Amino acid sequence: MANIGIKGTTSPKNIASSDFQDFFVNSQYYNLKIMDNDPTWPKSVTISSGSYNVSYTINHGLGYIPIYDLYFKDQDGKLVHIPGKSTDTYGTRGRILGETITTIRVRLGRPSATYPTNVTYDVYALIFVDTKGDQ
Amino acid sequence: MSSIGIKVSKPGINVLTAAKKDLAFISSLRHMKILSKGYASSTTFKYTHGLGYRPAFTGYMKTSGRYFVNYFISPFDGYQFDNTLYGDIYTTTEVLAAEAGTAGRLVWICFVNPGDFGSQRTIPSKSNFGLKLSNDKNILTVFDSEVSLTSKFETPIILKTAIISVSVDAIGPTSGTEQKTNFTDYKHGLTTANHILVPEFYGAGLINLSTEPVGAVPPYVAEDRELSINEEVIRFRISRLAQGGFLGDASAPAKTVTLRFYLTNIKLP
Repeated sequence: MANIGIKGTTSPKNIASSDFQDFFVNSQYYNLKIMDNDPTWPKSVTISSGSYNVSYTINHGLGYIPIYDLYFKDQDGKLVHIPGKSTDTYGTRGRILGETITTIRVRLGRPSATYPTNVTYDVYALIFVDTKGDQ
Repeated sequence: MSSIGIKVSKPGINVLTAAKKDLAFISSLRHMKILSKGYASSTTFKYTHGLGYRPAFTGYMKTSGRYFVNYFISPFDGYQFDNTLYGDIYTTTEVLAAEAGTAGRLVWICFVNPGDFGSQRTIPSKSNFGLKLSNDKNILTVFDSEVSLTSKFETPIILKTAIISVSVDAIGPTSGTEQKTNFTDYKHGLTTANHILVPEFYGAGLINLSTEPVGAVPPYVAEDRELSINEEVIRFRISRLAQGGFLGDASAPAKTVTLRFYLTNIKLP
């Protein structure tokens, strides 16, 4: 690596450190950068009474399959990772249905469709713009 | 994007024209920041983050020196996978909970970044010096969760990205039960097991969140995958299960599955 660039360490780590973890920025590499939240992304979804699941789509439009972290808030107010499962009354689960270079398709479901009322969940997405490492 | 701020590119990339993905960092975007990480020391472990919002998080299940990405859900049947322990992690506005049947195995990472885009709370500074960058907020009053980049917290940096692939043989035809599995080890070149991101790992829909079919069902082939990291290698495994049924044999052709991974600077505890 050329001796040109920017690097910074978390306090009180030495800037001469050879431990990558000590750096919060190092222009030899790429920081994990969060895409701005898009107002068109779904904020909540509803599993209708008598249904097992609901699907939704996040249109990120990046042109490549991104790194992402998705979550939903269950009926107990807990933030649950997608894919993952909740321990709320409904045993709500989230899974990724598929990815394309422009979309991520997601499904929230539950093991039973016998519940008589609609149930709404808040959903969240952290999508990262990064595609590169040390290249 | 505002014309005010800082952006840095690597040598050979024009910082004036580079896309955001091609920049080492840019102050107009927020970067991930780690508040804390550790083991779930009990089966009902709770870490009090006190952030006032539900922070983003991730986790691993550590078994036999390997950190397994899919800590949270059993593959379709557990057949021929290396890991058989699973747990749950979730966050509320005050705690991160990490629960598993076995203590000391579930690894958690709690980020400063909100997972719920909730309200922010500034965390007391460790010191009055360092660097912080903000995009559209007053740098003197900006919340930690809104800071673009800061020297206050460990920050994931991508050290390496590459493709890992694994091929599995054809399975069946069988009228009974047949299992096939295969894995690939990729030497990552570090001496530590670090936080790894594998977006396409789940995207093929292969994490099976429902139980297997039971009773008199048509023939089927189920498939699932597992990914782990230790101090030397990243292991990617595919396992398949063919279950013949009363309507005939089950079979599927050989295939190769590829995944892109992103290996970060964050050491797993």
